[in-house]
Amino acid sequence: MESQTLEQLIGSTDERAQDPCVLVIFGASGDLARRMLLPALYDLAYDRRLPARFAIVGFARSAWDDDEFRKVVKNSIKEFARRTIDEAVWESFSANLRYVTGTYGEPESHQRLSSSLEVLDAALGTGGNRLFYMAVPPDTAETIIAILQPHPQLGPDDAGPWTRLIVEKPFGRDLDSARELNRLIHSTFPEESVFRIDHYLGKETVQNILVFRFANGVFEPIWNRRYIDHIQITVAESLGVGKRGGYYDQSGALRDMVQNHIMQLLALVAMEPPIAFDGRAVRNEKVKVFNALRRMDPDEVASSTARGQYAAGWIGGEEVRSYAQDAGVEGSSTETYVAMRLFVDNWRWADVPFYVRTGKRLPKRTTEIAIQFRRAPHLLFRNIVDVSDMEPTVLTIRIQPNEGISMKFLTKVPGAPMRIRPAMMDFVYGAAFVNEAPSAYETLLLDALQGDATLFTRADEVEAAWEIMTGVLEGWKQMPSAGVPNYEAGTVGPAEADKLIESDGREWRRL
Amino acid sequence: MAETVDTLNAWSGAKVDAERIESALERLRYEAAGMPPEGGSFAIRTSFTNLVVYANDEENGRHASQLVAGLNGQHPSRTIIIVARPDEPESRIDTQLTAHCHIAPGLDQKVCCEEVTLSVFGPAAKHLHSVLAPLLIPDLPNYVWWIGGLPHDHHLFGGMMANADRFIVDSGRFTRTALDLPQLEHLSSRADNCALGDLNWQRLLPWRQVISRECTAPTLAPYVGHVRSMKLSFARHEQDQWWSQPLLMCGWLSLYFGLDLSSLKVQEPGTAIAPQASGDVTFRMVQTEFPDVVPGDLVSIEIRCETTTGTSASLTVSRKADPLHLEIAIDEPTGSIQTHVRIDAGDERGMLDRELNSLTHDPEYLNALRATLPFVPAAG
Repeated sequence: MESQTLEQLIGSTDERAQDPCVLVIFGASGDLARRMLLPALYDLAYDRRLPARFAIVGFARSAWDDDEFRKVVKNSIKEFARRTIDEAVWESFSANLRYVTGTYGEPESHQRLSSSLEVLDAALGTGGNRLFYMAVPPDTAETIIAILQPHPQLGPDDAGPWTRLIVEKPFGRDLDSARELNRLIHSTFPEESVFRIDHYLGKETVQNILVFRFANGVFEPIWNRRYIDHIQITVAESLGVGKRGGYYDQSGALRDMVQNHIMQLLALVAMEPPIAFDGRAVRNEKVKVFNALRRMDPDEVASSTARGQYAAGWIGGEEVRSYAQDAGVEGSSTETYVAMRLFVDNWRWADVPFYVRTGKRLPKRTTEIAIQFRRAPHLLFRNIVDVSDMEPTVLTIRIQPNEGISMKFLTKVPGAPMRIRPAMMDFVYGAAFVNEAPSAYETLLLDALQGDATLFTRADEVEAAWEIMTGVLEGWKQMPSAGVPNYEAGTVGPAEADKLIESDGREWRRL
Repeated sequence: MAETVDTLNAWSGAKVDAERIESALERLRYEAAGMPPEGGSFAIRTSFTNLVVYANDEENGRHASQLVAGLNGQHPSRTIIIVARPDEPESRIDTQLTAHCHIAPGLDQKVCCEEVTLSVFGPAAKHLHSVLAPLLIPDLPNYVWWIGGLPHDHHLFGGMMANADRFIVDSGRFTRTALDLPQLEHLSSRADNCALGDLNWQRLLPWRQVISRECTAPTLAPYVGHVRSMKLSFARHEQDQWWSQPLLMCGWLSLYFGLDLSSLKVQEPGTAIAPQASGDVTFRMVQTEFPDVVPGDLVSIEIRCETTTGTSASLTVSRKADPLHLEIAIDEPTGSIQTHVRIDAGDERGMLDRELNSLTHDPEYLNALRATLPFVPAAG
């Protein structure tokens, strides 16, 4: 009866195959589940994108029952979902919400979970299909994966019921630990069943990088060292570490942002055209970019990277605390800011620097990729106008906020005498498309349910990215400390970052 | 090109909320286009520059808003008007968003320029760069127009300047000339990445053009190397001493006539003597009554020349009651000539328009400003 109602009300509108299944969320009482996953699942249900026969089982230590879990889920939807509560949708959605209280890694707890899943399999006809979501810290995830090992139903997607695993970052702390984690995962799950989630890849604007580059014939011919002077990738946050101080102090900006989000953005910008838009082809090309990234020896780490930590300051007219105060750690040298100069040593990008930077407590939140083109080879107007006014053409892909693409180019000011000034041509997603875009988690959850791994990172990608970042971490170990804090909150970062790019005769874009 | 003004909701908060502002501006453009947010098209947004206006009070803020709106056709901008009230005890930021829209010729859509007005109270007003930074459009040049005298708080000023590509003041409205002009010169010398602009320099443009044109004409050219005295009259103010216009003009005239100012002596308030190899050159700055002009504005400039053989000539450029003309009087041994020349209105809008046309330093202005400094002690 419930499943019939579910089919009627939440019948899928997604054109791809929709296998029935049960989604198990480990860490269902945690922040990630409450703020992101459960609201995203409701939004998918509202838009009739979920499989018709579908259930969610939450697993966590909190001693709740199904009703208590439903209350929590409803509140989280009210607070964080895109869609408002529609009682009919909620009734169907909540009918197949279950909760199992347990201890991670404890056989009895997992046995209770298995029993619950079997009951749902029988009631909904899910055929034993499982999607496990690890919304737990890395250590806990490893414990859970280890105990999932003897599960009798695991197997590749094409051999009966499927079991898939979604893993949240961080995927290790360095190359060795990433390899170890991959070994553990692969001892249970074949790579085709593993979905390493980097929510940046679920953002519409990130996916649009591929569309912009490869669906338009005009850009690819100029997307190379002949026309591009350099590329800047910026992931700036105005927030501090907030409640993540404990985690962050062990991680730092390099591990938290560069190894994953920034490396993914870089790969999408620098990759060669894949032969198809599928998981294998796209990820093959990304891996090639990582393999072509120039490795740094300790001297190069010193000259090609800058790091910093924020001191107290002012942002948006509000006084904010230092990292040490935010994180509750005194004397920590953990970096909250990283800038790097990277090179992709291949035919397309030889000698084109990729400047990347990320930091906390910067003046504003923004994620963008700026492609700065070379100046015109012959400055026709040099005798008429001040050449210093002739700024280069810049193509900017804004990932968030104010998602869109803009192009800065020079134009003649109407009238005489001849004057030239930059103008901006602006495409704003929100202005062009009135339909609200799905959240990154909606996109990625749906892809995982459908077994499409295109927007997830593969084991070899993760290891290749770690190989580069581990070199930087090793280099930093051999260098004297950056002398932190070295940038005031609300400023654009440490002076060392400016020196890094200015030594090449370039400058950071204004945030 | 009929203009409409649409004001969206205004709100107060403890800090500036850049993302709320961006999203509200987006909505404002929907509404300006007469479309509901659920469908239809936006009004076109257009910005060639970021223009930050620092206004020292609400009245100046409103005045700046009207003035900038009138320039939107020539300089479509994201305008951020800041009214700072640092003396209030609590930090607070009041935000108001406005779109200045018009139907552009050849388009059936509205074209809008955005204006964000921020009233910043309390300690936050001492950290204006932190308020501003999130609101600037990254790819566009950033002009800062600072209304009023220079602040005592160099930190505040420095922060604003650090974000600017061109920093525009109006030294003609400085009331503490003896302090502000040297400070301005100091700022210009250390601002490598920020060009300094001055509405006062634009205000003096017609005077400079007329003097330059007459002094290169055959009638006066033989006398230009024999300048003996210059008298600059300017409109009196009852309380304040608004000396910046005559001072800056003295600086420019010294450069124009190639005078050596290394031994310049101030004789008495308003009078300075610059000894030259060929004899002394006297500068006199005199306050005078002149109806319907802003205090401090130049009223006349009289330049007297005398050659070593004793022949003399003079050039007098005078303001007329009609603001669109200057009167030119030339006396020289063969006779007298009196003419009028039409000039631009010299209003603030025109001056700002010219300042917004350039991003780079004007070396002539900077040299004139530097040459002005020896005259500053002569300001009464």
